[in-house]
Formats: sequence, C-alpha cells, structure tokens
Amino acid sequence: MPLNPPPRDANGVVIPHDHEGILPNDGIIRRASKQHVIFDPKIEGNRLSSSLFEPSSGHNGGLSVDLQSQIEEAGLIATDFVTNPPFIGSIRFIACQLREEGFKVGYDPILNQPNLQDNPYHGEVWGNFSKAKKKRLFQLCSWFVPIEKVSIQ
Amino acid sequence: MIASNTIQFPSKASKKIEPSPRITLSEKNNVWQEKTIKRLEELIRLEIGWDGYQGIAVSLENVLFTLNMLEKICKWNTEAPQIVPGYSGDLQVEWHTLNGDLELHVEKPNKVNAWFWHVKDDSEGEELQLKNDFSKVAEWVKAITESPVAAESAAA
Repeated sequence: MPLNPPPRDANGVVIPHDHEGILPNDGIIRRASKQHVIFDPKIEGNRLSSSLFEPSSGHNGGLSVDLQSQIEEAGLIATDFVTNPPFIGSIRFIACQLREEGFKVGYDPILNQPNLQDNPYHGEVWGNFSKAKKKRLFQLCSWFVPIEKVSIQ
Repeated sequence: MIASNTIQFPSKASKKIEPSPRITLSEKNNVWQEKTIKRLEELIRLEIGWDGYQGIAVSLENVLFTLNMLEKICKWNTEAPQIVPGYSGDLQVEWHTLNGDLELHVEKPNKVNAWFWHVKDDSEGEELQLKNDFSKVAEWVKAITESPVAAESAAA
C-alpha cells in the first residue's frame, strides 16, 4: 500500500517522523559504496567504515535508506534497485530493530530534484548516531547485497 | 626537505570535471602526505549521488582543514590514514592498526568528532568534540601507529 505523504516544514523539508506505514518487519536498506570500505589489519581484511552511518548534517538531516516493501510493492526487485555501479553493496535492518534503538524510521521520497535520480522509495532514519550506536547498528544489520571480501564489522 | 605538493580542485561541483585551477601547497615531505593528497583529490571529485543517495563531494574547505590538522597531529613518518567521504561534504580520517582504532570525523573546519579505542581498552573507547586543540589526538595517533612491540616496551 502506498505510504501517506510525510510531514514537511514550511520549507518543504521532511520533518523527522516515525511513519505509521513502515511496518515493524519491513526491510530498511542502506546502500554501501566502495568509498565506505576500509582495511583493518585486526581482521586481516576489509570492512565497512562507521562513516556508512553518518547522517546528513543538513536541516532535519537523517540517514538515507531504501524502503524494501515499497520497492517490492511497485513490482521491482529490491536487490537490483539498490545495486548499480557505483553502489556496489547494501546492508539491511528491519524497522523494529532501529526503533528499539531509539531511531525514527520515516518516508522521504526523492522526486524531481536536480542532478538526482528519482527515488520514490527513499526513507530516512533519524536519531543519535553516536559511535556506540553505530557499533550497535553494525551488530544489528546483515548483508542485503554483499560486497565480495568485505566484512560488515 | 621541503617539497611542493599540488592538489587540483574542480572549479565547481558537477558530474563532468573541467580543467580547473591548481592549488599548490608547500609542505614538508611527510610519509603520509602523498597518499593522503591523492585520496583527497579523489574525494573532491566525487559525483553528486556517489553514495546512491544525495551525497556530495568532499568540500575544499574540509580538505584544507584536514591537511592542516594532519600536519599538527602526525609525525613525518606516520603512516597515511584512510579517508572516507561523508554525505554532506564532510570526511572521516581513520587509522585502524593492531593497536586499535582512531576515527576523526571532520564535519566542518574546527568541528571534529574524535573517537579512539585501544585493543587493551575494555570500554567502547573515548570520544571527544574538538575545535582547534588537537594535542590529545596527536597522542592517540602516536599510540595507534607505533608498532605493537614499541607500544609494549613503552608501557613496561
């Protein structure tokens, strides 16, 4: 079912919110670029940087994500939708995991913005992304589209 | 020894990089410098949406601030850090060694979130918000980049 429009401020910017249409077991996908991959000798290999969970510093800025249920309800294959160069991989949460950690999971479609591809399935996660929380997020997520020879943490 | 290092910056944020002015930095010939500058050159050329969302290239002001910060916290023979771009023109400087992890998130000039964790530390590490005093970070850089053997000798 299509999501209701998100709440916006006077400038049209989406206000941090927990969208009622994003259900507890819905998949929340975060794309990972090769730019997020770092080498860590402690694991003798590559892993994802905590920078993957750095939210936008802009007004009402959150962490960009893709809403799996919305992609699939549109008849698309989610793994294909979130994966095309240079977005080589992605990790996945379920919405209730994020909410249990104190995050809000909302809807923020990207439509008709200059230099950007439309993404009507775009969401945001808002909250306190401290180092401890980022570590926790790495523990909670799993690969959606794995990056070869890269560990999550 | 003084060497000249040049970074070529794009004249504007666009998908197509046009010939642009070069900024020349005259700095000491540090071990970390060449690799770092090469990486920063990549990051200022990132295309809009590089992260699959609305990420933009690392900003010139953050690049210059980061180089200045590294001058203050690194010795000439410090190994080059890894550098990861952020979503909003910010960046994260990272060292990951057998001694631990050090991450410096440069949100904007004089606004840095620093996090340090040593392998012998049972906690989740130490986190600081920094403006322009990086003396503590210089200690952390030394602690994380010295060889494990040297670190144990120093601790003994």
